[in-house]
Amino acid sequence: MPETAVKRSAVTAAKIRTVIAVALLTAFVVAAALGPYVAPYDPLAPAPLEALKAPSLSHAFGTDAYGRDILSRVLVATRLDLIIAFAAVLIALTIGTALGAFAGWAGGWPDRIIGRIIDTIMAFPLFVLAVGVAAGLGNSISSVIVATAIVNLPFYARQARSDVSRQRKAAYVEAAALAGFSPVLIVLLQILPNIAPPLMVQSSLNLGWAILNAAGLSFIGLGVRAPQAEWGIMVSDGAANIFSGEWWMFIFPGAALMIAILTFSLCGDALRDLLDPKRR
Amino acid sequence: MPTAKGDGGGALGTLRVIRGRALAAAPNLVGVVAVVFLLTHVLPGDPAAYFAGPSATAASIEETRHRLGLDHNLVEQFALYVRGLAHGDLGQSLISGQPVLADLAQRLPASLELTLGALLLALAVGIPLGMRAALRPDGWVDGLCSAISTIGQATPTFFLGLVLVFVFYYLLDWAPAPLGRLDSMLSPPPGRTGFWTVDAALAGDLPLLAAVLGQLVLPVVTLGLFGVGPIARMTRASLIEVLASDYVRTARAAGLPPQQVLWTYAFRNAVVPILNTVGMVFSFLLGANVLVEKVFGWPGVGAYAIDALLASDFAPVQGFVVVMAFFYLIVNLGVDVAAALVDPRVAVDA
Amino acid sequence: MTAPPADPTLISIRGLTIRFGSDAARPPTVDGVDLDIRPGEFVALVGESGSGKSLTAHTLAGILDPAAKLSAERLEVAGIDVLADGWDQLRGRKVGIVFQNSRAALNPIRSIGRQLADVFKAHGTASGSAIAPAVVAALTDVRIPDPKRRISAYPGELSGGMCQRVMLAIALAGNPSLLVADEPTTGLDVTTQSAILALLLERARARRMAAILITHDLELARAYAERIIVMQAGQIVEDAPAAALFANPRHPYSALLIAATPARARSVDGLSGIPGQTPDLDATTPACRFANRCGRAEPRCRTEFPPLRIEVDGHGFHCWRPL
Repeated sequence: MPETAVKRSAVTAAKIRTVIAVALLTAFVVAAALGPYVAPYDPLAPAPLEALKAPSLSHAFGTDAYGRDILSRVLVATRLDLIIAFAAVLIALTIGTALGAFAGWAGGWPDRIIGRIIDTIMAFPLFVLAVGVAAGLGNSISSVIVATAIVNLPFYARQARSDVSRQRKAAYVEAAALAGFSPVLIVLLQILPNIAPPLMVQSSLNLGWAILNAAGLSFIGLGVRAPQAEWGIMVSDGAANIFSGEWWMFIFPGAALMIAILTFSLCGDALRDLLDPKRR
Repeated sequence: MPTAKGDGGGALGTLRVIRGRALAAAPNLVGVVAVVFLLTHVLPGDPAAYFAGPSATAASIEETRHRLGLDHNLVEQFALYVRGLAHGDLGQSLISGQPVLADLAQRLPASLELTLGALLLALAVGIPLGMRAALRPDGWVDGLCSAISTIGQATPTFFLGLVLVFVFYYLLDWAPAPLGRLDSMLSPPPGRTGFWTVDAALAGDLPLLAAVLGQLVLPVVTLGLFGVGPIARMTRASLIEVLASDYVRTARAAGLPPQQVLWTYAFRNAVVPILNTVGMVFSFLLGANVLVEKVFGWPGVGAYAIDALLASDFAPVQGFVVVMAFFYLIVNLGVDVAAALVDPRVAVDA
Repeated sequence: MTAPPADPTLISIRGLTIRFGSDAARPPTVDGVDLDIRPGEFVALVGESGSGKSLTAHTLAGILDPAAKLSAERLEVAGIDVLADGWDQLRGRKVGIVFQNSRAALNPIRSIGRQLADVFKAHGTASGSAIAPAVVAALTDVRIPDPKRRISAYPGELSGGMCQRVMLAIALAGNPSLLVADEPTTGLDVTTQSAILALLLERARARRMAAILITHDLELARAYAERIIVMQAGQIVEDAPAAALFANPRHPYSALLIAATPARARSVDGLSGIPGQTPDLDATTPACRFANRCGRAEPRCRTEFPPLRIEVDGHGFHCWRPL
């Protein structure tokens, strides 16, 4: 294919990807915001007469062992899963970037100590660490959030550290320091805006991992408890019913998980395309 | 320009590299132990109560507190903990009543068989896929590579496992019931390794080997599929870069046979980033193992730790985290050493 | 439009055309090159970047970029009809090539001894226990000091000049009849440059090989080649014995090139250049691709590429209005 034609089709593919990403993201955010209000049934109320019904017109995703409508539960779970993911990434982002920026700016001992902490976190298989932290902090949603945050922290810390330590030597930073600005102000107002683009791309990807992580933890029984609606725990409930063929119990929440993760991954790619000056 | 030591050294050089890397990894080991210690000793609430269990009386809590040295200050506790670790004392499981180390040792081969099987699968599929994609960029194999990667990244391990069970066991009846390592009707092979594939093969019991492998297929595929994406992608990227290099051009121009150019001049030079990816994949596998064991009823260390955790039995969880982290460190060490052996320039930094 | 058929040629090329991309309307990067080289002849292929000299050289060595599309009426190298039989018999065995940036051109994780041994084994020039002494002999041939110790060295441990010598040894290992040197001295300091070139040519002469030196440096070409071929934008414009070219350039481009060599200028103000740049190739490209930069161009130059004219001493050129 001639060069121009190849570039054009790649650009079109990227554009389609962006549109799909934004559409899906909007759908999820709307579902999170309005889920409880538009859900056709009460996600928590058991209805024994309706138990284990296959998908039909009245129950688009079928019902579970307690007769609860799965579509309603999947919709309502959107809020919980997204909140957990956003909270975890927000914590990881702020604390990780702060630590990394401090290490990058100060150098010397603080840099080495923080570096060691980050290396230690990365020395664990990450899900194992998440399990350990959730165990240590007790079986609750907040410990799932903290565990996911800790596991995602190193990426931000490393990125911030290398960016800040590199920018520190830049002329505009020296000028600001000479002008008497405090280091905190310099980092916040001058350096961070420069390194924001890769951080945003990273955050988008991390949101996907955070959802994956949180779902994994709740699948094994940590954090979320019955009868709360959350995708991971719904898959876990549905697992028991595979042998009796009630596939809808685990497929729909699992699909929701997959689509959510894909959405954030696509958003990350779209952001990268948007912010990468070379591609404009 | 870094100078390598040439072919000099041989076995001695390798030992030197191992020692160098081990020393570099030592602080991480210390860090890991410290973190695991902190996890359980900085709990909100009374650690002694945690370790004594939910059904403990006030007296047994006190007894536990004294036994575990929890009445000392934090530093002394840490020293006690480290000394215990050095002697292989990972505490006692409340459920089984056994030392945690014994429980873990008994279950470890099951988990390792799964993890190693998955790793082998990921390599066996990922590397050829990546090579093919590199040799024919923009072909359909290349597209397949990207697709597997993207979907693989977005699929939760436990979900994939359940889907595979539903399709291949429930619908198609091709796979055996996901109820552990072996049908309850059969007895495990005699043997010391604990790897039932190896033991069955060594015992010459082919039907048993087939049964064991049958149980392994779905869990190994579930775990391994996630390794295929990153390995294929890195193989492709690394090989493409190397194939475009000047030295591959020289090798071709000098008339070396194409197979030699591909393997000795291209692939070998592309291996180091692939090895690093293998390290990362292994880290992921150690974590995802837990989920797969849950789905398939696999009697491994992950299932052990989770069951203990849900029953508020904390010593096994702590022991599990330490052991898994330790394994990961060993694997990273192995990857570093392998990289240094392939590429003498890497060894210099040791 | 054929060259004189007198001697049995080592290389005989007619109408070599190389294009990139699938746009048939776009002029080819190398446009109908005819080339003959006799055994043992030393030729320099000279031109600016973009002249197509490297592409031609790489074609001879059988390592043309797979994205390039090649066509020719005739392409015979050392008795092999490449159009019919392909390049497999050619590489390393009939043609050896030496590149610039030699350290990057050697496998960084394989000792130079093993890289040489690989070539010997591939061509059967030595085998079994004869390989090790052959490697030492090859290194000695290219004047690498202390060859026995150097066998286990890696390219990263050697200087640029030494890497270049190793590359030469590799190129010669298959006993080829033609040596192609693609800008072999770029990046080396002046003393090393002359040492390497001298070595290159001395080895080629000793083995009765022909040699093609690709360079943008006319002075270098004059010092080391018997015959100079000048290329411009993918076309050969002049092909003459070295002395004749410098004494009496017939093509305007050659004259400008000679005038532009720094050695000829008496002062910085005396430095001259060639107006314009190597043209982009598109529908407006004239038949003689120098036409838009040439002070002597006539309308005929834009529509019809001038055929080869050969004068005494085998001085050939393509020009409607030669000097």
